[in-house]
Amino acid sequence: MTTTEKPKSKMLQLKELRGGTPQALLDSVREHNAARAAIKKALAGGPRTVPEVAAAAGLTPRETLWMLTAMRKYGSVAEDTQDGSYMRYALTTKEARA
Amino acid sequence: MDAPVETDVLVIGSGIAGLQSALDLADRGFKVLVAEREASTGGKMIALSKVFPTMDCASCITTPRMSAVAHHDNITTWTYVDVESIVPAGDGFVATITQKPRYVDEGLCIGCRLCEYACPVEVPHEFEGGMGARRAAYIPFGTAIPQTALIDIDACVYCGKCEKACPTDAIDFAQVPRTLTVNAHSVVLATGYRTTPVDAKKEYRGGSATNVIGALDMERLLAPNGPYGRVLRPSDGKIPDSVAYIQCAGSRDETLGVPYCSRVCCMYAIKQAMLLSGALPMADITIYYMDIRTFGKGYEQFYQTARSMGINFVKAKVARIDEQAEGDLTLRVEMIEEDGRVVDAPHDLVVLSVGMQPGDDPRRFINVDLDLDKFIATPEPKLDATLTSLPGVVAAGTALGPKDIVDTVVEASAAATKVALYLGPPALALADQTNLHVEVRELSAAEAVMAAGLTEVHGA
Repeated sequence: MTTTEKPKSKMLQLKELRGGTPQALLDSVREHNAARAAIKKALAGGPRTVPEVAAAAGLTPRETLWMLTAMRKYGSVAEDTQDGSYMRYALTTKEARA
Repeated sequence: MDAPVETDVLVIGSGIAGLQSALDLADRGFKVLVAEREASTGGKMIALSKVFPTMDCASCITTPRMSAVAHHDNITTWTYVDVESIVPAGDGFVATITQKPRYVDEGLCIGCRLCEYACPVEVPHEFEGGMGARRAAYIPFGTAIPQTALIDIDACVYCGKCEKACPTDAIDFAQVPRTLTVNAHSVVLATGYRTTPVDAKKEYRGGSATNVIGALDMERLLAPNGPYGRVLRPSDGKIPDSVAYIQCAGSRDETLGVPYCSRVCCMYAIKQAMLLSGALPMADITIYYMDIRTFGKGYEQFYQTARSMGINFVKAKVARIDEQAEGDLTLRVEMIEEDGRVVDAPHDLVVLSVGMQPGDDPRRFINVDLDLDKFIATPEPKLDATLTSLPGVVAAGTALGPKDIVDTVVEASAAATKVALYLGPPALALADQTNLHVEVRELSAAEAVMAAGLTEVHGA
């Protein structure tokens, strides 16, 4: 390794000082990543409602809505048309191409 | 330790009360330092949708004040700080304040949010009542001031992606808490309120039943920049057909230690019901209440308008809420005006009209008296409502007790006036005789009378 990563070393110092990353946090990130991937797969065929995505992705509707809300905020999902009492969600063009 | 900062007035809190007091004082030439616990100014009001009875967009009337405070020559704003102590010293006060580390250099950050987009960690966003997400590196919300990122170090996985993404090298993991000292001549306490927790009344299942939410959560659902961008119920994203409000769910309740009326809940529930009837034209909206209290100018008409819009007002006591399959809710309701008949009422979403409690215990850092209700006590509640038990310290807004925005702003201006009289002409006025001399002289007779009252009360 070179010594060009001075800011990173501060980060690692802080990590050490704080006793590393809690396992529960790492587990949560892994679960979110898996949920996000499952939701993207469920939406690959076209727009779906929260209950439909939840059933396809093996998540609870509550988790699904929370993940979709986050994905919408950060640009990978957009709201689509209404289907009865639910909105449909779709991958954004950028995300669908990726 | 940094060199002490000198200021005329230290304002604690930057909700609408703190913002108004700071602006009024700064406009009169006083140097003001605003200390805010959160990473953005704006307090509770910036999270609201619209405000009664005018139906102004809350953000549209709060943001300009936040901006004015941020850009005022006489105001310095410190966000993301903890006030440790404020003690009398000489003619004024010495405050010890801790600047919490943002792990982002405020001078370098340009608010581009590239760190936020790069961050791989998502956690429930407090600003959205947990219904939306934020990342470990984030800007508090869209209209936050300052538009400066921070890193929630408890949620950080130390991946370094924010550092790589930042175009100005603003990420700074070397930051540590800084102790700051302020010498102030006077203090305004605008520490605000918090709402009664939604899980305070176990029989209402707030905190366990997903579709039982607090009124501030509904504010976010109704806000155009809210978590879902529309009103959905959190359990499954269903557009609710039937929404119920339970009034006094956290006020007028001895068992919760909140025996008082929180004053604003009737009005905000009526306001939200009106907004909901616009957002969800097909939905049934029911407000279960004990009494409707419409105390302000134009408020009774506001209530009558809501009734005429078809919102159901049911005088009843809700005994409990049961959660059915798929998140539906059944309310066990005692119908007060139907001889106490008990009915089971189904609803998709229930909003608890939670009450107001003190936002902070100011005695943690300053020796002022509190009332039995734990809000700041004032020795002259009728004639000098913003005074506290400590000479040179005033309070404003919900730090003194439950009240709405109209009364909060009036009180904040009153507090600023009291401070101005207490301090006498600001240094700026003395320095600029040509501009302000006449004004100061004209005011001096009235000031003398009022200042005498202030001195008398304080025994100073």
